[in-house]
Amino acid sequence: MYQYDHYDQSIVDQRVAQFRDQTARFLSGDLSADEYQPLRLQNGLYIQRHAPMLRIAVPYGMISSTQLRAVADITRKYDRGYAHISTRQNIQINWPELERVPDILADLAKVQMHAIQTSGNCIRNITTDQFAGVIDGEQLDPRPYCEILRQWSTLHPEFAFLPRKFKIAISANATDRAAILAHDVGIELKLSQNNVVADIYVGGGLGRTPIIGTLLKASLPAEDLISYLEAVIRVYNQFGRRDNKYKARIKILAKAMGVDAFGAKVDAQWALKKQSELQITESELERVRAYFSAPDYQVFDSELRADLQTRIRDNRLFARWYEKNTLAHRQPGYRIVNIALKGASIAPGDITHLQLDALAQLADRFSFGELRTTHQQNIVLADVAQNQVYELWQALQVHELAAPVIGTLHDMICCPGGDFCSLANAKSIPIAQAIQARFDDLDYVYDLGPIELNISGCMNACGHHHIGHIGILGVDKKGREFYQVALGGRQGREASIGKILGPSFGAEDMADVIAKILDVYVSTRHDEETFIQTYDRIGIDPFKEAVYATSH
Amino acid sequence: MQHLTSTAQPTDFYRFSVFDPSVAANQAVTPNLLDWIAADIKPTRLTIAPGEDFSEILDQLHKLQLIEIQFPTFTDGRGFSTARELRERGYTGTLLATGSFILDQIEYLSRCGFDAFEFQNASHAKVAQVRLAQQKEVYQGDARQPLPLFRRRAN
Repeated sequence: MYQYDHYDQSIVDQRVAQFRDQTARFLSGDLSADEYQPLRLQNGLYIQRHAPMLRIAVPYGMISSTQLRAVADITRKYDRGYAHISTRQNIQINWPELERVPDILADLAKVQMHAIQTSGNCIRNITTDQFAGVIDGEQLDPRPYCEILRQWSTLHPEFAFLPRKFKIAISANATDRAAILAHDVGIELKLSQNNVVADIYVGGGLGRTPIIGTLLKASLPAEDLISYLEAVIRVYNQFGRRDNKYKARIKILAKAMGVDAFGAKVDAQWALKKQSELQITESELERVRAYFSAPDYQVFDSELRADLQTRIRDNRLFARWYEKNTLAHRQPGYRIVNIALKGASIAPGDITHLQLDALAQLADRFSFGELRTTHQQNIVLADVAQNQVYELWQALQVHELAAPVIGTLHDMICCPGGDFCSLANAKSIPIAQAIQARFDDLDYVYDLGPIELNISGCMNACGHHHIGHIGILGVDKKGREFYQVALGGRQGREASIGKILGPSFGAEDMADVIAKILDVYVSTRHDEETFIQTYDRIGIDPFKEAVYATSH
Repeated sequence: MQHLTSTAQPTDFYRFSVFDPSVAANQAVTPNLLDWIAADIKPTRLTIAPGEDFSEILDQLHKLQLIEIQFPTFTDGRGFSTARELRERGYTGTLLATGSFILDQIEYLSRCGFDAFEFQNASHAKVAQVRLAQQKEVYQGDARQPLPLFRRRAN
């Protein structure tokens, strides 16, 4: 993965010093709360319901074992001994003291980490496919471009006070795992006659007005990515609405202007910049690409080893985990291993300091010292030799990190919700836990096949409820918490927004409601049909009837 | 290779002033954009507020000596784009930031091409001067240094 040189390190160190000064001035009263707010947000610091929350950047989900250990240390030293993986691949800690945040940032800087632009009305952490570089079907490794764009967007002088936040996701695979159509800008990198080109999608996003992104520019030469993005964001900065924060995202502007008119304005700006020093140089690409070259793989033949086959045959628990949580690797003899942070006793995406330390150690032992965070709030060890997979599984079990639930109903996406977040209308974690508890029979869960269930505690949609096969949204009605259910949403290439089932439900009914929805699926599915395929065939009405008929 | 901005300046080039309400109450020294467009004899100064369409001045930038860009609130970042676009289009006169921008924006403002700042607070103007004299490492090209870091990195 990318390593800082002295330039990168100076930039992060300067930022720590700057934020220390800003925080001291705020605490002494020299800087007003209103002035301090956007400055602290651009350093990932929120003031939450109970305490501040600090969001630490994990650029495009890549994190080293050294960095993970530093995060574990930080949760012990400054927080309550656990961290949370967000849906944009970042790491959040929920209980730091504001006065100590500059020290946390200084500790992070020592391991080439920061919290720059993880919040605020600026360009946020750029996300990508969690399997970049190791999965089949990839046209190229998107991470060098992610890193080049990370550097470009970091402390960009023109784009620190945008109308609203700005999220970019990049994919280079026919299977889109980065939700590029649900981002302000989604970039799909492709190879075209040995040249890298980018399709640029604009105006996707969830939140109050969920919209799927539209193609703005096809086959942009990749060396023009910076100049083109500058043009897009300049048009947004100049024309995006600033009178109403719920209408301030680029999706509202692109819809209001029309994508063609928006694109014409972008092209006019782009003409100023296209042939400039913003063009990404081949030498820079080479320099950055070198950090993402394949690790020192051992050579295996591609046959599944006999001893592994025996383990799978003889050990049902291991076999389940192997099937659900590991994936084919591009390199013969290796597996991609998913670690589900979806245990029964924790909030989705939460991980304790002991588990963080354990994973760091396992990454060193089994996966070249690198890990990835995922948009599904899990962690990936991307390069595990098949002959060590069983050993890894045993170690994961010791640390309660072997839940064999990837891709199942248990693998929910869930925002922190009303337990932590001051924006939330309702709690989301207890709903996730109630559903997990209700469906604790894993054989039934496996029989249900792949189901994406996403929960958000408010319409800001951090839990991506719009694009879950089953989406749950917490709403507030006269001070009571209710939950609205939608069906049929999906992410990826065929991204679409779920349809609302009907009136909302109380928290206590939610497990029953999900049970009824799943009953309809189980009783009407054809052969190997998945939940979403059955939904597409029969539509929402049978689900509606089952859920509402019996509840009265 | 086209340089987006080419106004590399010694740090003492910057001009700092403090807002004086008695002057402002008197009358606007610098005409607003609409008055400037309507004027038969074009003044050499004008003011742009956020959201104003400044396309009509783009072919006359060489005749202007001072453009004031207003910040009605410090979180309204349109002025950053306006400044940078004017520099990219070849404007070499003074770019004056006025209004509610804050001290903590001074680096970004200067990097976008502002070279004159009217502060609300005299002590902030002093601190700003010190800050702009410090050399900081940055990734992007800017008004002082047109090359982005990836074209400057010593390999």
